[in-house]
Amino acid sequence: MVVSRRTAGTRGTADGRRTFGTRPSDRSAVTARRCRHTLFFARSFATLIGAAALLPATAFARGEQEAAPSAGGAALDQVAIATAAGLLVTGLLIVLGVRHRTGKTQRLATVAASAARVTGMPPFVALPAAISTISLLTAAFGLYWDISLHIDNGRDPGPLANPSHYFILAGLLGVFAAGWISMILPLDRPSPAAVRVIGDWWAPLGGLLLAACGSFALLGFPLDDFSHRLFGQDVTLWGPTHLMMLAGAAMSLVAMLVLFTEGRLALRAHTVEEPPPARFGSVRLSAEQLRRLRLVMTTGGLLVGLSIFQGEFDFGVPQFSQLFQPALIAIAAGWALVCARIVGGRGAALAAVGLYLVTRSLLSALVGGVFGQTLPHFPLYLAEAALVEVAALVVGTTRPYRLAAVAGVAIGTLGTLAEFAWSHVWMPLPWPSAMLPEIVAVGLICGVAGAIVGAFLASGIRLDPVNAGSGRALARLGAAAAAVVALFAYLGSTTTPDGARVLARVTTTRPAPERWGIVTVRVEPAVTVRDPNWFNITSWQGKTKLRLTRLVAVAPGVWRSERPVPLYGSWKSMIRFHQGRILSAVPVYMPADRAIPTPEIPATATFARPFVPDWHVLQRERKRDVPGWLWGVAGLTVLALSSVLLVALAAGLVRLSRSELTRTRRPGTAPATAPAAAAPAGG
Amino acid sequence: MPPLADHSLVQSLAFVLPALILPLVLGVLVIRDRIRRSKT
Repeated sequence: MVVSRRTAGTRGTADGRRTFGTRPSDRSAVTARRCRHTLFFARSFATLIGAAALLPATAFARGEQEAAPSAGGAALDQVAIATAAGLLVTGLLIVLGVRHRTGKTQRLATVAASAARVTGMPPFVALPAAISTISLLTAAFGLYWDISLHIDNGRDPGPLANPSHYFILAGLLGVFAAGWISMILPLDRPSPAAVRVIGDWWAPLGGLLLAACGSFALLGFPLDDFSHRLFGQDVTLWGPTHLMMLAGAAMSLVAMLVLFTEGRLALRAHTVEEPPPARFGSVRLSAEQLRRLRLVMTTGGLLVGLSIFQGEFDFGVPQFSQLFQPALIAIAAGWALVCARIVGGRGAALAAVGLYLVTRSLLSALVGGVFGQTLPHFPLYLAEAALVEVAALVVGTTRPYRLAAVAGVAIGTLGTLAEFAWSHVWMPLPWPSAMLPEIVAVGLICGVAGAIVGAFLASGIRLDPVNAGSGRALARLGAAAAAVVALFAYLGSTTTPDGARVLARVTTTRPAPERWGIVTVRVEPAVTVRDPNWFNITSWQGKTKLRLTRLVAVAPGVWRSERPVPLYGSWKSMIRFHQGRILSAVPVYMPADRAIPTPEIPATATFARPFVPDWHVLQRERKRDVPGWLWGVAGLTVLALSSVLLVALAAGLVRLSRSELTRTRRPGTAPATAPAAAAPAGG
Repeated sequence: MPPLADHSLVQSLAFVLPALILPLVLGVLVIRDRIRRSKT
């Protein structure tokens, strides 16, 4: 077998076998060298991130004194400094790539080889996987902290004043950097699925997709600024540009799955020997066990990533139909758990949920406990995982779409019912029994659609071109996507009760300056509120935790807050009403806001106010005079960009699934020794 | 001086530029490469 010695971080042995390890006699010298190189790399990486963080922080220090309580902006000098930092980081990444690929430095290769020895994966997988895993955890922490900060504090008080943004930005930049490093590392064609960039530079498909996901997510930030200028600030997680950031981060887990698979292909292409078992203390794992563990952990990460979209429901301030919550849960469960079970074997769906629960518990403990912000809740997914395991036992995993159909129906019905019960145990806004038929209908559509995507993803990962690359497979994928898009378009449309209003009486329980009061409301007409999804007083942005106060019926058409609500300072207290397609609000107390600008809405002893669209009250910063077509153009732009990313990922999976065939068909190439990768795992 | 850019843009510039510039540079290089190959 002819093996080039040019592949980064690998060694060619006398018999031509490529290894990722070290000879015992070299060990001490190599260890010392490895330490130096690791230090160098750590320093370089810290310089990259530090340069990105510190320079704009200087801008913040200068800008903070002048910062008005503005929804507005930053001055030229701050922009210039941040731009310089960005260009510096860009330059460093380019120099790293050029020096490595021209052989002027071996340090990147050495660090990657060290990672390869530890993990048993090729260097172009090992190092980027480690960087992107740390980066994604950093970004996830930043995201949940950021949401809680905005819920508790409102807008950022000035440029760079929100520390959580640094975690998100550094995390997403880390994802991009991981993809970039994966692209520049191999000096040969790293896998049959690799993509030729220019000349003889072949980039791993997974690395390319990882960089694309990071780039896509980061693109959301400048577009967010553009969006704020056009439409005002959108204080919602589901702003179009916010969704880009979330989608880029979540989809990077798919790219990582592709990268891991390429790593396995690279190993199989260059050695017939099974890599030695890895040791973690007293635990020994064979290469196959380690591979499955890696895939299961990544699908667990994918479950965390797909669950990010439920953030508004997890915190208790959703600005969209409550039916989105079961829909998103079913999609995430179907997608991640069906994929986990197919590629990871028996128990993999449960293990993926285990990782998800550990991650989310830690994030909630940090945000809600350590930082004392509003607590993010989360769905359990345990029932869904058990259902996927049972479905796989009954129908097997050989035919992935059959499993998807059975598991999807089970997730959509029984799984959704389990989440319904869980919502009454530990969700800020429990799902009402009156809407159970709709909840199950939505869960069914999304459970099956998500499971189809999961089956497609798993087929790509296990190199199954029939179930990933055939016209029928792509038609199933398209149908699943179309069903979800149509459902979301339907759910996205909400209304306000025509001519309805509230007559309110505020009974002060604590006087000004920190005034609290019980609010009693008479709804006119009384029949407006019957079986509400929620009818409460939401108080947020009071520089402390969000307060949801239930309105309890005390007489026909008369409701009273079950406890006093805050009516002072920066608090914003409002009656929120959701019932079917109605999503509406009535302000109770809102402070004046010079930056928007808008006057105070006082909580007078009695007042009569009409129901208005929910976002009018929750998103006071949003401009009202923007023409509808501009919204349409902006939405379509983001949709088009998102579609490009999703199509690229799907095309990447198709390419990956066909890569083994391509390799074995190449003249002079031996067929794969065992079609293990194409065989169903643990069916 | 009036605000030139929103907070999020200033925050993001240092982090975002690499992820935008590098793909753009690569994109240009790839297109040049493909055009050259198609001519030969």
